[in-house]
Amino acid sequence: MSKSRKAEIEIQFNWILVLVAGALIFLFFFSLVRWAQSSAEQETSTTLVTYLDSIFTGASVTKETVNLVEIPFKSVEFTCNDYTIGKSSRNIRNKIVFAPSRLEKEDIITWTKGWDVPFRVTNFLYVSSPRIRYLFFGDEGDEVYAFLRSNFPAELTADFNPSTIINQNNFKVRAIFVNTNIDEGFLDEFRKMDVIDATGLVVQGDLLSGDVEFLRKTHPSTPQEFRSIGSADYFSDASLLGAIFSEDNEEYDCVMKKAFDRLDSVAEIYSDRANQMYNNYVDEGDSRCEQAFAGVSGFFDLLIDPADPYFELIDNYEQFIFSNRDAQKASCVLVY
Amino acid sequence: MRIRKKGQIQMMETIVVLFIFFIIVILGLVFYTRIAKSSLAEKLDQYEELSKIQVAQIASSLPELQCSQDNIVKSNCVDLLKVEAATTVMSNNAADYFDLFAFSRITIYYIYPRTGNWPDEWEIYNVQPDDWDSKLPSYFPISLFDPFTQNYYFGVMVVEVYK
Repeated sequence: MSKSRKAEIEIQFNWILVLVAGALIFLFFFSLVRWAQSSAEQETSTTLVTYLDSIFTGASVTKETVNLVEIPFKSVEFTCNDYTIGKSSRNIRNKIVFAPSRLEKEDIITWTKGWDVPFRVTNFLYVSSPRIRYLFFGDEGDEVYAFLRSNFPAELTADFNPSTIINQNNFKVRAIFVNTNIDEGFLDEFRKMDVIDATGLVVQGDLLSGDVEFLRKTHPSTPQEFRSIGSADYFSDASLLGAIFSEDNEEYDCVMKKAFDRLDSVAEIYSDRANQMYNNYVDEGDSRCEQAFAGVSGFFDLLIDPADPYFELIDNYEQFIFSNRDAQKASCVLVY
Repeated sequence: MRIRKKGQIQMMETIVVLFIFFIIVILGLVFYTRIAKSSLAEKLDQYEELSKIQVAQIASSLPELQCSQDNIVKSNCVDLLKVEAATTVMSNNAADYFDLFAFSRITIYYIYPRTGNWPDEWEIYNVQPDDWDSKLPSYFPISLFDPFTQNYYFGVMVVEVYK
């Protein structure tokens, strides 16, 4: 009897062993599948981030171009310094990229514009999506409004002075008020949207310079209006467009800081070049060209690490144009 | 005694089956890891190639070097006076340019005709990693603009990415 019971226990123990082993095998395969899934997702997002980086680099080196990029990701999040797809991030590095904080699905539009102050400093890259709606308000005769109307890429979704505004389920809406008063009447239409997805921008200035005020819609549970989240300066149409594509002043300022860092180096190079050209014309006794290049180096020096870069740019902009024109008139090599 | 033996045999069978099963799983994992490793190496090569292309694209379109006439850029052309200034400026601001070029070397060679007092080569940028095996070079034929004489010469831009 005792032998038989021992044998029974052994047989039952065998089943327990099979059960435990089965559970372990099941757990092992379950975790293997989870690991494979997460590593495949990680690999896909790393690949996408790398390819996107190449696309951005390619786009940023060719000026005045609009590209449509179709990428099958859920969303891409941008900050001034990096962008993220899934768990993979990539440093934007020194590329000057103005983009909304988040882009969703499918299409990305890249648009490049040179930042000329008036000499070329770098190219600005704007990134957006046709699923973001831009609403422009302003006077048809205003130069900034007219510029935006004729230059804003047709590939993006933009309405200029729309008479009626209906929610078209865009994931973001951005209203731009160009030298005009803020209109908040349409905000109720977008009440359900998150505060960071319904934003605005007030532009006060011309195509050369001015200031911009960044706005955000109030919380859906409160009366719908815009509240200011900060303001900034702009210099040139390219910089103004940067403010339109950025969602807040911190991101805009951060990207512009990179642009000004680049301006330091470019101005230093032009200053050195102008100085060498001046010395060369002095040596050659070419008084007309010597005169055209006299003092030009000093104007470039004013742009190297200035206390107020916007002020220096505005103050010296025409001087650079005149210097270049003088050099052209005297048949010299141009300043820029 | 017979029943007891039967129980033991069943347990032994189970253990042997599990042992063989895990051996097969381990073999499978080893095989998978090897394939994944070679595919990862291929991907890394691809990423390095992409990075090389990016550095080359950026280098050939730098406003710091490009020839321009009233802001109209001439493609595949560098201004020699800008190049002279850029060698100093870019090395003084290496941290800023590291973001663009990472671990790479950019050199411009003066090829033809051998006139004027220009040097044979300019090293625009060179940041080496502590440990590197090889360099992946790319060659770009370019025009070199001499602002003093307003002549164009022939040159080559070499972009090497440290691997």
